[in-house]
Amino acid sequence: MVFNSLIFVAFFIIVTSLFFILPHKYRWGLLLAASCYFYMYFLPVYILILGFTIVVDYFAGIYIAQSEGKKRKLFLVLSLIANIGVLAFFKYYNFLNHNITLVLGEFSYQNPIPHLDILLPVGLSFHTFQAMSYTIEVYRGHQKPEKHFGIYALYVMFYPQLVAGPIERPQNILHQFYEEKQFNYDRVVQGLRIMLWGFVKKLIVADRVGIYVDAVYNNAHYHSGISMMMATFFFAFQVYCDFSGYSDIAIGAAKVMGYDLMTNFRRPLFNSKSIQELWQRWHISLTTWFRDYLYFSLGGSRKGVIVSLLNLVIVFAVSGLWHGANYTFIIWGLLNGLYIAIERLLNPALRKLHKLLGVTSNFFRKISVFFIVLVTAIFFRAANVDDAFYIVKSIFTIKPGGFYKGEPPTAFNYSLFAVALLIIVEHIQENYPDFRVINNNNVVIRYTAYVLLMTLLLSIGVFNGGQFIYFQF
Amino acid sequence: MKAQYLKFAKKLIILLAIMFVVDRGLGSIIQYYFENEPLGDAAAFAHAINNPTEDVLIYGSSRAVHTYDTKIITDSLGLSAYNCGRNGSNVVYGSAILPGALEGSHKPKLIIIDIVSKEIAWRSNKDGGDVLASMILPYVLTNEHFEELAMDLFPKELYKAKVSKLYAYNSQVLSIIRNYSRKDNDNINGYQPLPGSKIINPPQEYTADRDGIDEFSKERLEYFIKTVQDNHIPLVAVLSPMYTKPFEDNESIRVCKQVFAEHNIELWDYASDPKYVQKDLFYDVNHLNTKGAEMFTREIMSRIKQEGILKQ
Repeated sequence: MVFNSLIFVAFFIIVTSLFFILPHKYRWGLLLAASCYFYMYFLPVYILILGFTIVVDYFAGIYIAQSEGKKRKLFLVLSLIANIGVLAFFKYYNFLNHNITLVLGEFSYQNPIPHLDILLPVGLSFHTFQAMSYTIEVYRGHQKPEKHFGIYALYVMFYPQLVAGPIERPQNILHQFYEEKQFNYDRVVQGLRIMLWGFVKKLIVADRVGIYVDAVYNNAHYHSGISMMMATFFFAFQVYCDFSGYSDIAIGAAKVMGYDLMTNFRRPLFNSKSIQELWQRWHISLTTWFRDYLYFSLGGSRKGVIVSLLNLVIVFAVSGLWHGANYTFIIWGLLNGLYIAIERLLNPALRKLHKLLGVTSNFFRKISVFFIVLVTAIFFRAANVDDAFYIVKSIFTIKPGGFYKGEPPTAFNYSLFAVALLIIVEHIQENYPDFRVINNNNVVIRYTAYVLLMTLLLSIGVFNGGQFIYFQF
Repeated sequence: MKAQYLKFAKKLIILLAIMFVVDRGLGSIIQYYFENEPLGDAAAFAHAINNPTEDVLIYGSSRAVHTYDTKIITDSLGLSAYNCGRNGSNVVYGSAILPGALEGSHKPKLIIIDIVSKEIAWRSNKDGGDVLASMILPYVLTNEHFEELAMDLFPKELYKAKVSKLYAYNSQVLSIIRNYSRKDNDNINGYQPLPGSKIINPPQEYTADRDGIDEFSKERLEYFIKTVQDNHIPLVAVLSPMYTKPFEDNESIRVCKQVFAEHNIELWDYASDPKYVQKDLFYDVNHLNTKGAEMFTREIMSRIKQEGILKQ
């Protein structure tokens, strides 16, 4: 089930109403059943995969806590193998197999391993990572094993964040399922406001600019360098608003019921002054996951500068691979890793440069980070590596041709309006936190903002039920 | 806690009531301006939908809109002409607006339908369905043919449009403003010339889409042909030129030819006619420019006269 559908609106109203009607002791059951329905709406049979990893990790958590020494480690490894195995099979089997075919082909051998028509279960990377964070935290002694199977299953399957995060940690969410939640007017309204803004990001910005992006990127050879530049600019906003919009809806839906999910985005575009800061603001739940469970496990920055930089590049390359079984994502990850490593190396020189630039320093820093985002975005969006390099070349050599204004031409103006709206609102949110509109104390201002946003949604939102980009991960 | 529920319910009802009033009020204003646009696309579409009284009517997609020069048709045949084509549409849209042209006492003397290479595979492409829905929704509140069509194709969209007037006119505001503020009309009885060329590369291979045949579109094509023939109006079916290397018929073209043949109509296939595959005749790979459109319209008119179609 996608958030931007009528069925979700009905689902949300029914589940939330039942949640507050039912006594506390039955609520976990309701949420689990609702989450199963939510997931099975995509492809019912894949609930079995989820069920398999839930059972494995539930028992792994208990056995890890009960064991000591090597046995303890063994249970963790078994749990990780089960999770990564499922992920590898569904997400990377054909990619790996294709590469084996290519390598064997170079030596005139045929690959005997068959290609499988596998459909990637929705949000597999998200719930697998969330499940792994549980067993790792139990192993590290930061989290007690969850004895209640239903509550553990709910930890993995909680519908607001099941298919696209935020990737939660057990310490943050598990205990919340035991707390008795009351209907709290302020909290419910706050949650609904977050959801409303999430819908604005998704339907007015992401899906709107996505029409232009698809038209250009899917037919790159027919478009000019300027059009590709514009499409890449729009894509940065599309991917940001698509994903952060989803996170907002998830966080808001959970908040209405009284659950706090972790913040996933903090206005990364045009507000990050370095690549490091960008990654502290972008997809925070994944970045911190890689930091806590991979970067630190590789030694983090404890083993000297070179190893630390190498670790960064490795972590980002893996992060790229996490996004998809395609070389474009690996290059995207590597580029980000390299940028952040170079930035660290150049930090002393950059500080001097910032001093020289004086008051204009922040402006130039934000613009340069945004430019870097655009370059990497090309690899994130392009269908394959050849297309990505073709687009990079076309943009930097300003491939001649007319400027594509979209079809119909007014569509382009809606895209510009949507992006401008987002930039202005986020600029205000970032720099003038006391300037309130949607949560203003004055009822007239507040209601005007609600009505304006809903009017915009109805009159210029794109309601084609477009899937969220991150579902494919 | 009961007080909290009541407070929430009360405020929600107030908000929904305000939203309902705003939706109806703003929606009605947009509807008024949409229906009375003096120039531009919407005015042309409104004419094409609401009983066009010209003698020659052309149906099709953007390839029809930018290809059939109505002035040349009038000069060649001595008959008034209107290009009822619409960007991004296919025969599903054409068949929905066709009854409007046949309702009055004045019947057209000739109908031309321009087919695209994906004519009846088109709706199997999801984006195509979305485009069609966005085309039809602004009319569902006022035109029963469109309401019926929306009920068949997008019942949920129809309900949404009935609940929210703003939704029915989604994405129309800027084009309304644009059409009210323009002074010149680039729309000559529905024909929109495309001057110049954006073509840089030589013609590429035509990548035949693998979409299956959309049975609904096929049915609508059959309905279109049958309706025209039942009204004893000559029908000319054309596959206009594309800027591409010669290619074999894909399934959509093959089935279209078969359907036309079953009704004793030959589909005039100019898809990769070498005489037209030249940079200076195309605006982009799918659309002839002004020069190409003029040349092609003249050829079609001359063939119509040669084959004596108007005398049938």
